[in-house]
Amino acid sequence: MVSMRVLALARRFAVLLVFVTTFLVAGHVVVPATAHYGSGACTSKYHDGINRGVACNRYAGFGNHYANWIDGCDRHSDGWRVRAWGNVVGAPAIPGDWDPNGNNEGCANDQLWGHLENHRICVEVAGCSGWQPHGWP
Amino acid sequence: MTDHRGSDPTEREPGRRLSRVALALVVAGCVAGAGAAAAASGVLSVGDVISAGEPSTPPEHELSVDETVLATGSTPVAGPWRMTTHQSEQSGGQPAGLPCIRLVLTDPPKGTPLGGSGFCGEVGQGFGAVSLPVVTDSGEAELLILGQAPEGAAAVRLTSADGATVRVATREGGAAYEGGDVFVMIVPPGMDQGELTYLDQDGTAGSKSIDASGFFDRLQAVQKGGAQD
Repeated sequence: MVSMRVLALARRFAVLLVFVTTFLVAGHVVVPATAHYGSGACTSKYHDGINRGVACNRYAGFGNHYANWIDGCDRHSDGWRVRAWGNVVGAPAIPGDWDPNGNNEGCANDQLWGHLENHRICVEVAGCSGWQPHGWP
Repeated sequence: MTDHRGSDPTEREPGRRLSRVALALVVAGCVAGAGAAAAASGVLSVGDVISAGEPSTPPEHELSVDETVLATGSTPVAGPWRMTTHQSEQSGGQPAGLPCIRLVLTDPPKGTPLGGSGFCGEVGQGFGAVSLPVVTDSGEAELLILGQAPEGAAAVRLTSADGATVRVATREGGAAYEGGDVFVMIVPPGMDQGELTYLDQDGTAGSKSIDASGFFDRLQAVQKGGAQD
C-alpha cells in the first residue's frame, strides 16, 4: 500500500520534473550561441596636427555572424561636427550620426545591419579619414 | 479522527514536502522561462532590465552590459521600437561606464540599413539628440529622433522653417539614466528641416536648441543609398 503511494508520488514528481525542465530550457532554446564581444579597429582624422575625430567599431559575434556598431567621436573643441561612416558588404556607405556631445567623453553609436567591411570618420572642414577595415579577429 | 486510508498521517509528510518542492520548482521554472522568453521575443515593458548577454530581438541588439527599458512604441514604417539606457561598452573611441541611451528597431523593415542609434556621455546643458532614419525596400521612409532633455523639461518640440511643429512629452530617465529625461519623436512626413527645442512645464522654450537639419540630411543620404561628406 505504502509502496504504491510512493510509486504514485514518484510518478507525479517525474511529470513535474519534466515540466520544470521544459520551462527552464524554453528560456534558452531561442538563445543563439553565446555571443563574444570586442572592439575592432579605429581611424582618426588629423588636421593641423590635431586629432579632430575618431571612428571605431564594436562587435558581437555569433559564430561567424557579426553585429556591428560604429562609434563616431569628436576629439577637439573646434566647433566642427564629426560623424562616422560605415560600409556594409553589398550596400552603399551609411552615415552615422553627428556626435551630439562635442568633444566630451562618449560618441554617437550606430548599429549597422550586415557585415561591416570598413569605416571612417569625417570632420566638417577637415574632411575624412581613409576607410579602415573592421579589424576583427 | 480516523484516517480512512488507514495510514499514519505522519507518513504523508515526505510526499507533501516533495509536492511542495516540485510546485515551487514549477513556479520558478515558469518565471525563469517566461522572463527569458519575454526578453527574447521583445515583449518588454518600461523598467524591465535586459541582462548582459541576454538574447534580444533580433539577436544583433544584444549587448555585453545590462540595459533598462525606458520606452517602447511602434511606428507605421519602422515598426516596433525600444528605447533603453545602459553603460557604454568600451571601444577605442569611448571608455566603458558612460551613461548611454539608444533606440533599436525590434522588427526592422526589410531593406533598412540601420538597426539602432544612440549616444553615450554627457551632452551640453543636458540637451542632445541623434536620429534613426528608416527606409524600406518599397521606398517608404521615416525619421525617428531620440535624445536627452534637461531634468524637469516637459516636452521637446521640432519647428520647421514654415512654422509647422511637432511636440512630444519627455519621459523620466529615472534612476537607470542619470543623464536626465529622455524623448523619442516620430517626425511626421512632410517635414524636412527644423530646429529642436525643449519646453519647461509652462511651455517656455529652453535656452539651447539643436539644428535638426543634420537628421534630415542623414535620412536623405540613407534614402539615396549614401552620400559623401
